[in-house]
Amino acid sequence: MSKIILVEDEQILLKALSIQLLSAGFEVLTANNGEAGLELIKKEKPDIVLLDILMPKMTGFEVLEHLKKDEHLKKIPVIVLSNQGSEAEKQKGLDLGAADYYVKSDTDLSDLTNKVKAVLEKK
Amino acid sequence: MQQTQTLSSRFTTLILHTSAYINSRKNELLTTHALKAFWIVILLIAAEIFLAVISIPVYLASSKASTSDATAQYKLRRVVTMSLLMGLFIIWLIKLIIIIALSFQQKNLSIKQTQEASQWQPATIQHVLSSAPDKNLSVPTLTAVGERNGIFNASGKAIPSSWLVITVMKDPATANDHPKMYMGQADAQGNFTVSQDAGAFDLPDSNYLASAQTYNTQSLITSLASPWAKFSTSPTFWEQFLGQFDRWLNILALLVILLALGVTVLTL
Repeated sequence: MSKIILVEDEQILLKALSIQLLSAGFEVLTANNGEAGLELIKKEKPDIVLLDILMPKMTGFEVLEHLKKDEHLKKIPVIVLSNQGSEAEKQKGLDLGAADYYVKSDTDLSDLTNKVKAVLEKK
Repeated sequence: MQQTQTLSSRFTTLILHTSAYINSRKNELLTTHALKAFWIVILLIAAEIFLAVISIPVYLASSKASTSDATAQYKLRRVVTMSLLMGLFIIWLIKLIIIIALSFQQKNLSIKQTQEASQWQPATIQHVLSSAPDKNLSVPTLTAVGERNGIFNASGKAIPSSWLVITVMKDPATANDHPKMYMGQADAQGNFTVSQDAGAFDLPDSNYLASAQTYNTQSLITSLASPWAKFSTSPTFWEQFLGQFDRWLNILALLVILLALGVTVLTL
């Protein structure tokens, strides 16, 4: 069973996304801020990470930077799921190594789940 | 233990989009001016309430150890809640229809000639107003008399611009019952409607007879009386039935609420 780490500070989204991903057959671990998320990623070495950007303690971009610098972690695919929808933000995320960048307001979760599966199959 | 309940993808997407909407409105609030900010605050409050309501199943789904039970219980509670709201809405709608229907109902109203008009001069009026009626004064015609929403009114046809006295007597009357008199004036076409003034004496539930006379304000003499018109202020069968029906509706509404509460508590 593939392991996903979900890093999201909004509780209700964290719960809803967890249930959605669990029902899709993934093992889901969660963190509600960037710092805890990074620690969890280092510890669990998941198959994929779903990462929010605007979070307390450490932003998603900072998490991406840390992952990029770590030899063991930089290969873990990261999909960004953010409220920030500007092209500059998207490009920044992709430049920092994100596999894809989704804007929450434009995202259908079934598409996101399919994308997660597609990324995992590519690995 | 991993939770494996499912929430439909569309439902979770709705939560996601609502959350995103709230975030974007919050960002907008930071840079907008006072008047628009007020409107954004209203939208934010509504969106937060909406998100709180639609996210209830998420908390239910993730708070129980069992998998299918939580979803089934949530569905049961949702059905119960929606049924309760729909039931209450229907009950209040029926009550509203009843209230509207009753407000249009006027008790009454049959014009009945019980005796020759000349033989039935309301003695009290003659005693108060004049010694004898003027047989040459035109007798008004009562076309409608009765009670609506507790207010007595009488209407008919008379000499244009003439004054009228409407006498109402209980039928049958006892020694303690006194006739009530109402005064009014016909319009230029001779049509009149005499209504009880607000705060004037009431007509207790009973049968009544009403009669109209033209009143000459110069000579203080009245005409002969019109034939007695019979009407009733007692609740009609339908009023009584609907009144009882309304009471049963209230009891039913209370039972529905108690049932819903009971089901909710039992499924906790």
